[in-house]
Parts: sequence; structure tokens; C-alpha cells
Amino acid sequence: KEKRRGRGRYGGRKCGRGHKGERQRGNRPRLGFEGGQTPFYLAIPKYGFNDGHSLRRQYQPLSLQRLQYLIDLGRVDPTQPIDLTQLTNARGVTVQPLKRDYGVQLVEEGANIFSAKVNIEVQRASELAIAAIEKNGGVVTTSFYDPRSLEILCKPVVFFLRGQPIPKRMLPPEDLVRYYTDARNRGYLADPSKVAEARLELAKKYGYVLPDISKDELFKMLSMRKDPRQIFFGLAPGWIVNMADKKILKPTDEKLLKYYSS
Amino acid sequence: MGSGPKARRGGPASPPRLTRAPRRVFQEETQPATLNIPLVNTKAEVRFHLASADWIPEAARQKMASMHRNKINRAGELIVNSEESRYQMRNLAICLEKIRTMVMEATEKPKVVSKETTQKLIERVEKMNRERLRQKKIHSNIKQSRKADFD
Repeated sequence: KEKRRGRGRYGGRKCGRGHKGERQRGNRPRLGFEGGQTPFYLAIPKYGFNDGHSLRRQYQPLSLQRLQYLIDLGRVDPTQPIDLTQLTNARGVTVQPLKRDYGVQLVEEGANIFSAKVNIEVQRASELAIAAIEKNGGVVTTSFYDPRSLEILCKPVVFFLRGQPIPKRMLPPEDLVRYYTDARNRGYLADPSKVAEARLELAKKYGYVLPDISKDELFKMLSMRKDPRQIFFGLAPGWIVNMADKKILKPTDEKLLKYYSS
Repeated sequence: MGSGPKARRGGPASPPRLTRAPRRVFQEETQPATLNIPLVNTKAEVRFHLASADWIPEAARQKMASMHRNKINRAGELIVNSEESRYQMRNLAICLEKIRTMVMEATEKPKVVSKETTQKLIERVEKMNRERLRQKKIHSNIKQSRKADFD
């Protein structure tokens, strides 16, 4: 007798449930049950891999390849200092301050093809990435932004529409002070002379000739740096930016001025 | 290829002319067939003429010539390779580090141990042996005293 398949609705005949047993009768045990043997998820001992994961600082990676790509397409302007605001506006990186992101870190992915002279400011940078940028005549700085400042930096317009005065950027916490005062990481709190020394050291280590940026035409732009309490390049803490009337309001009270110049 | 060492800004009369050789992939090589191979294997090679390298002291030069005989070619150039990393720059840094260690090994002086130190060491060994024998004799006495002899 010829075998004929059931063509009823939802599959026909056994309806894809198999033959008898818990499978067909819909009584299978819970996920992870191994018939009584200690299941895998209970046999393996606990270890704190993810302890405090929600308190860990995260930095969105930015590869040199991506940076070169953005510059080549014209989304990021290398003739101006490159800031997190510039990168966010160019949609080069997406930073989520609410998800424990503390900024952007430079990664050495495109070190072989990178060839752009830029003044970059990131939150962390690896040694090879710093070397690759300085080799092409650029400047790298690492600086700290506390979460509130970071949010303001990433979405400036939304902040200005709030009508609040620009807050002053907080100084880094204890464990990061050491990182940002180290010239090898090009920290913003480091000694400039030590930074110059570190540049030479890196050039010697990686075997390239360190280009003299003081003889460069863009030297002024390349040496532009933010004050440790400043969030935006042209604006100081305490100012209110009025988007509708295109005006900036500055505080005149003595106490406020003293507070904002800290 | 091997002209004299090029003086560099930002470093002591340091090295050599550099030749960079990104490796080309040949079909015969047995490597996992991924598209990343031409990018991943960036080889850095540094070579310089050892005999005319005046930034290394003479004695060190001789020692290097004998120590790294296998790395010197017919034209007298010392060749240092590195292809450990995917980045040219890092491979170059590794090459330079290798050269630095070579020169350091060649310039290190044999350790001169002063007479007092050798004397001290010999005295120490003798003292250890004396003490060991003393302990052995004590132990032997203890064991002997436990023996019950017929007399």
C-alpha cells in the first residue's frame, strides 16, 4: 500500500510532534534538564567574571581605519581639532553615556594605511595608535569626561535647548588620575615637557623620524587644547547658549565667576 | 642596499637603512585560505652593514659578527626580520628591539668576581659541609646509643 502523507492544516497526521512520549504529548521537562544528571549550568562552579560589570568603564573603540575612512569621505574635518562632538556629528562613533560609556578609545586597526595629520582628542589610546598618528605629524591627547559632561559633549544641541549653564568638567577619579597624568598616554593633565620627551621616546622605539610640528603651517590648530574644566572649544563653563535668539549669556556675579573659574 | 647608517633626528646616531617587505602570498604556501593574508603578514626587515657601523664600538662589532654569524650575508650586512604582528610599525619596533638586545649582549662585560667574594663563597661551602658532617655524627651517635649490644 502506498505511503501517503497527511495534508491537514498545521502539518497533518502527527503534525511534526514525533511519535508518542513526552515529545508528542507536550510534556517535555524544563530547559537545561538532563534526565537527572547534574545539568551543565549547575555542575560548573560560579566565578565572578561579570561581577560589577555594570560599574565598569567602557570605551567605544575607534580604529585608525575608521578614522581614515571618515576623513577621506569628508565627514570629519582634519583641519580642525577632532573632538568627540565632531565624531558624533559625523556619525563616526555612537557613544551611549547611559550605558557606562566613558568615551572613545583609539585602536590600532588601520595603522598600516593611516596617513592623516590630525589633532585628536580621545579618552584612551593605545601606544601603537599614538605612534601612528604622531608619525604622520598629528597630535593625540587623552582627556577625561565625567558622564554628565560626556552626554553634553555628545549631544550639544539638546543640552543647549535645555537652557542650563554649561557645567564645568569634573576631574578624573582616583584610579584614573594616574593614567591622565602620565605623559606616555598623552594625558591632558601631564607635563607638556614630559609629553615632548615621550614623543621622542616613541619615535625611537618605533623607528620613525618625528616630524617637527612647530614648523608646520597648522601648528596653531594642532596645539589647540582644552582647559581641564572646559567641555567645548569656544565656550567656557557657566555660559548659557540661547539657540533661538543665537546669543550667549555669560554670568556676571562674582560668586558664580569664582565658582566657574574654580 | 647596505649603505652607511642614516642619522636620525630624535635619536642617537641610530640605525640603519630600512627595507620594508610586505610579503606576497604565493599559491604554494599552505596557509588557511582567508582574505586577510596580505594584510596580516606584514614583514619588516632591517639590514645594515655591520663592519662600517660606527655607532657600535669596535669590540662589540667583532663579537656580534661571531655571535650572529648566521644572520650576516655575503655583503656583510646583518639582517633582522620580524613578522610577528599585523602592523608594520610594531614589526619594525620589534626589529629595532632585537638589534638593541644584540648590541647590549655584545657590549656586556664578563662579570668580575672579586677575591673577597670568591673567598666568602668557598668559606660558605666549607662551613655547610662541616655542619652537615657534624649533624651526621650526632645522628649516628643517637642511633648507636639505641643499639643493645651483648656485652
